[in-house]
Amino acid sequence: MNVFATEAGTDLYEHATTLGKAHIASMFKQNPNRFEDFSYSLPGLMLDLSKQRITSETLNLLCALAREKQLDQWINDLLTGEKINESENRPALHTALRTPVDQTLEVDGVNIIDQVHENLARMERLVNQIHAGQWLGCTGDPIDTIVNIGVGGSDLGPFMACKALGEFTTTNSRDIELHFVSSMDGSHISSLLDKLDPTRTLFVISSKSFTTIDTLANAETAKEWLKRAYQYEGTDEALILARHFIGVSATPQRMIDWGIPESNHLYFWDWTGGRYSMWSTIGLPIALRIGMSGFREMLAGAHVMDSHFRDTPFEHNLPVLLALTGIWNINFLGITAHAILPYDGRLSHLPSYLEQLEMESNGKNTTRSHELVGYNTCPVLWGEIGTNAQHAFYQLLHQGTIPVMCDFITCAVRYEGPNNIDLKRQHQLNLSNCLAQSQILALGDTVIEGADKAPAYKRYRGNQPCTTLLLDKLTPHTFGMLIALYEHKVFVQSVIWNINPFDQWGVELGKTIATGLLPALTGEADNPSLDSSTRGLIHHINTKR
Amino acid sequence: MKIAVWGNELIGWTAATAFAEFGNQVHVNQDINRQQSLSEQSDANTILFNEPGLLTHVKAQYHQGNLVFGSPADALNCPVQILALNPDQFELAKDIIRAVNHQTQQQLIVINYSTFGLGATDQLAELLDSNKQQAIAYIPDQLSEGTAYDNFIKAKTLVIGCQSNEANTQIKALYKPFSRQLEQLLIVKRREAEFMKFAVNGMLALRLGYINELANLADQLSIDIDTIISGMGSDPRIGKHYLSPGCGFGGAHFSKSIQNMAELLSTNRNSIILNTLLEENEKQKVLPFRKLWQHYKTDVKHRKIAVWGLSFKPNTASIQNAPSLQVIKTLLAQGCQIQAHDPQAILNFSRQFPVNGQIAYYDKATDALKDADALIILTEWNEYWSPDYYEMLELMKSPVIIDGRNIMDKELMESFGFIYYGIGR
Repeated sequence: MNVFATEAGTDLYEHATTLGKAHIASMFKQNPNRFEDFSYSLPGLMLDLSKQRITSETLNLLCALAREKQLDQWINDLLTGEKINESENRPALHTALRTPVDQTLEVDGVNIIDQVHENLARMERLVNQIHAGQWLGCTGDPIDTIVNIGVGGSDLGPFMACKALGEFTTTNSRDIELHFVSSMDGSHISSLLDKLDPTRTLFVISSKSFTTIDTLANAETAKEWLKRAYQYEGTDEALILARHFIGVSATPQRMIDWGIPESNHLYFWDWTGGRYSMWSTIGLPIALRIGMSGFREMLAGAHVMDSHFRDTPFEHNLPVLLALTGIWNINFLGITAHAILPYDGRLSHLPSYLEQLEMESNGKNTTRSHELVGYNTCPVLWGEIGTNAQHAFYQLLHQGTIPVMCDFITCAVRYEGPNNIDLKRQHQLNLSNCLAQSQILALGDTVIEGADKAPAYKRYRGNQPCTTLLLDKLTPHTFGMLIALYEHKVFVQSVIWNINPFDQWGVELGKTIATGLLPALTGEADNPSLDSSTRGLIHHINTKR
Repeated sequence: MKIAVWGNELIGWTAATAFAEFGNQVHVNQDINRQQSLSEQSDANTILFNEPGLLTHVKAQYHQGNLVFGSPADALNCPVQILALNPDQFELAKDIIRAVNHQTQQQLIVINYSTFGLGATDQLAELLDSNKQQAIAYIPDQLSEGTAYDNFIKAKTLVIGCQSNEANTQIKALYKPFSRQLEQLLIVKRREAEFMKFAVNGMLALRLGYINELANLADQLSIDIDTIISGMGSDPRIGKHYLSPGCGFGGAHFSKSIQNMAELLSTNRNSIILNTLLEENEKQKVLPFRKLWQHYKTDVKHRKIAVWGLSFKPNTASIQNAPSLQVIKTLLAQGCQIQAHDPQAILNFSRQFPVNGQIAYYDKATDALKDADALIILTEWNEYWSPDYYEMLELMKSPVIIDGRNIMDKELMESFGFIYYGIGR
């Protein structure tokens, strides 16, 4: 069944036939109060939807659609631990990871909030030990370099957060060097190991299943590197593993099988999806960067957004409104491309983080009742730091042929303090570019006088819907809010599309086939049943070796 | 001559006492707003407590009335003013100069011993009244903690950083009683004298840092560093001083001076040479612990570890920047039981690490050895050089010795049945 064949859906299709042709510039002319009407604030964060191609009626109809789709029930099910990840028969409880200790949430008769905080305390002990210079390597040198080995959710979230919050180091965490290794081909790790001192390096192996081949291949290389370094002293392998490896996983036995002793384990649970896991012990690198107090601030910020999401009527609910304007753009205005444009270099890795969060969650064509959807779901997402993207793909945004919706993300205040005059000026320049670009993309060249007399190649048609997310300042707290906002946005859209955002069956077959191709590549076995392209490529590769 | 000494640095107490012994009346003060007494519980007592030899002289001069703890106003009237302030007290130094200037109409000589940094004495000079006969000199102190008084009265070199001939004549007269063994007198500019102080300490630290690096390498390559040092020291271009490897240098003044020079080099030249040296020195301080850690293959929790020597060097009770601070902190963090001995520094040390279930202090060195899994030697006090090995073997649970100062003979120790680790041996 077409989920949009609902009462509100029908109204929205009809509404779109008229509004779909309207230009955002004329909407601003008709209603000079669009900013007041379509911007929404929480302490520390503002969402401006006034440059979207919407009216009050659009939002009313979208909220009606959400009600028809029983969004409130779904939100309740999400937050109370119902097994809404049906294909994997488990709940999706990333919100529990940031729930304060004085609250309870029972799953299968166990209060998981207690478990969450026990694990945070365990992580805190470990973080404090490293920060105090008292986690020692085999030689007794204090560990001052951490290499996080993980991929996907065990990499993107911590990597992005450490980049975003790098200036919130504490006195103790400042001297810790952090690296992230993810690529299966070894290019990250091979260039890194040459520069590191094995006696002072600790590897954090992060993998929910502890079977991820990318991660284990890198971990194996790290182990061999350490064994070679300690060869001279004759240090045995068990000692190396005990002093230079920490495992973060939901499957303790596999960590033990790989050789990491229990004392070096950090845990999370199967109800934590990989791309929703940076709030768990997967966030260890974040805590190592900004200290546990900073990490807890980040959790608190996300919890503020969770509470807002749970308690606020749809008409004022930031994640709901962000999601519904997306639904409007994708399903009623036919926009299938989405650019993420942070105007803040600290958020440089946010686009790739959101690529995974949105596309792995909602890039699906099957409903919860196992039928093919009859409408578009997740758009193609990509992005780059705004000011850099201006010199790359903005040409397409302004004068290309495809409609693109854009998220502009920035902060109002940066570089505080009297000695930062030059940098403050740079931030003002950055803000003026952010505002100028969203203005032109939405309103087109109507923003200047006499543009209609220019030749066609100098025209800017505008009408690309833009959202602006404005943080007061980027802090662990507002950062937590921002990421939770996107998580819930993704969930709301999945409810409207009637898909399960918490599984990722689309990534499985590739792993199986890749394993099957290895013998042909190593020359151990031929596989005559392969298609001619793959066969031809393998043959070509093998002739070059 | 009436002399005022301001501040609480070792050089201040030493100079005050020495000048008092030779006919001068010396007023000792710490602050322009506060009168000081010898008995008050101030930092002065810590400085003097750490220098037992000096304290005797201070008391004697106080009782004879040559050393006065009078009012700051009296001190400001003295024609010779000595600044022996902490490096952080530059603002106080300026206040003192201004106050003296305000109060006195007569000729004035200021001797600055304080290590405020390069150019600081010139800045103070600008506060003097050029219309009056006033001059300021910087004299780098060459005291070693533990032997400060002797270093002062039997100085072999004297560097006076001062551009005024009249002032220099008077300073030389003041120093006359201590110049009998003087081999070299250098009159230079103030900035040059300040630079010289940093340069000398930096050079010494570089030698120590280099020999420690060599010793660590020798350790890895199974070469005895003592043999190498004998060879190096016999080369007249190198000489034998400051070539003993060990578990890092400490002390208040030496370290501070190197930090100052490191900062100068890094700010003006982007040079990291002394910063690297300081970082490596911090690592070197924990080397004895690392040897323990490796000996027990990281399994050190609950082990009883005897520690001999807590002061940063022998003959002082000072523990400032001492390797013992780092080593004990690490031993505690790793869950070891510590049994510590030091002839003088236990009181200072136990203020920072009070006795508890994990750490105990002993008055007798051998008492600290009972049931020990290892002995770590961190300071080369005389009494540790030739202990009763049979008694040690009897007392210790495991005869493991980690000698952070290379005071014992490796072969001899091994022949007794000890498992011996030195630095670079």
